[in-house]
Amino acid sequence: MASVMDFLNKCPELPPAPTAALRVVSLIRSGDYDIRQLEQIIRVDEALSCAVLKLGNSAAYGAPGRSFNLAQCIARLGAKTLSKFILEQSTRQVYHGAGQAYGLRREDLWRGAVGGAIASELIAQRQKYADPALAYTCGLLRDVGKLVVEIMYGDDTPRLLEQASHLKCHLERERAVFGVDHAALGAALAEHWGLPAPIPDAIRFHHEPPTPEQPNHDDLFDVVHAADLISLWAGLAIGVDGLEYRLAPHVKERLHLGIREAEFEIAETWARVSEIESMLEQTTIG
Amino acid sequence: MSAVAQVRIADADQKGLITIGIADMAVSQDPSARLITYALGSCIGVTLYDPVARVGGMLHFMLPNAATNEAKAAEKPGMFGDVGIPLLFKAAYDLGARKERLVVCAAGGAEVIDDDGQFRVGSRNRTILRKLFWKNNILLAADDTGGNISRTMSMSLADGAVTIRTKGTERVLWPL
Repeated sequence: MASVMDFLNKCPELPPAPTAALRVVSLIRSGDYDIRQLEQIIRVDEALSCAVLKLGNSAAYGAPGRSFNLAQCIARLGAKTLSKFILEQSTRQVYHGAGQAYGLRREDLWRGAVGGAIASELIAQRQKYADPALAYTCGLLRDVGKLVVEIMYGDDTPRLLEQASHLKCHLERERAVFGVDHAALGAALAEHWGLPAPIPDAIRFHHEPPTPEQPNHDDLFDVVHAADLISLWAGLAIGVDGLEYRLAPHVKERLHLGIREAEFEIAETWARVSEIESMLEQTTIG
Repeated sequence: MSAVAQVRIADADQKGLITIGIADMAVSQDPSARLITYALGSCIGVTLYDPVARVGGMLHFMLPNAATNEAKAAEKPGMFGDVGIPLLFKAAYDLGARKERLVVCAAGGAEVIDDDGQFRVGSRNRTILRKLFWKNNILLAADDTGGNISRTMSMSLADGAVTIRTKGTERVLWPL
């Protein structure tokens, strides 16, 4: 853990937290909120306010007549749609322009994040896991550690990792070369942002979830791990690390995940990411 | 619906590229164009080229069988190998390509590291490809499939040359 903190301390600047999104989601999750409180958080973020106004007036949600009233648009969308939309918008800003360290094309890191979020929610719903919305948030944020790797090593990352090309798994290569992997860095960043448990641990274990025999096992970590692979199989955010990650053997049994279920979820995930992408294209300002 | 209606007939963009996204396919007769698909993981890229008709096409499919999700197959047939591959061939024939002249290549079909091998999505994609080609007497001129790596595949419509880029290194897949 010390080495992870050393690494973060050496980082010239840390990625900014998606503050407004996290406040909105935490308020909605608490169950104790009203539209005024949501409006107060959203209105200080100009881009977010514009996006909510546009979505609230879109064909899918617009009541007759245009509304330029933020509170009215929030009410039209409802808590569930609003929190997901704001998370998707804000993480797009967090991941914006990033991904070169992993050889990704523009916006691919964000596409992979949304893919992991949708797959987490799908699996959580199928498994009747208590909180699909929490799984969604964890899936969305699971790769924030890649932003830290990018800030530290930038385009040089693939060349540096070649030193450990004898190792099969990308995570093992990161540990061998950097002393830490992007999952541990993401967990530390999430803690730095003040995200509550179990989100940092879901990020930490998204490639290597503890087995049911281990004391820190949590079904949520299994869900996010499986979702990470669904997102890879859906072709989202395939970088220079390719598919060089392990599938934890216990997860297949715990989640009753057969090849048919996985392929169904791969198709659904990809299609929903495409829908979200086109919705955000329509609501992005400038 | 005709094959042509479901497969894009594309011209190159300003950079001379026709980009094939995931679950996407296109055919073209634009000799200045290069068909390209990025970051094939477990997905498979299929190219075909008729050197006489100068017709080329590319498909980037994600999963082997449309039966997995019939609704998605109806919306996006390029998502599935078993419906996308025949449509790509039909669209090329509609532009004048002939089966006996086609040069067909494939790349992708990689796997995650699954130690007991139950989740071989890439392998299932490779199997549907070979099964369809076997059944229809089509020989692969060249392929680069399997492993755990990402591949970017492109084909020049001037001569049908296919290249594969992996981890920053590019090599010619066809002609051999």
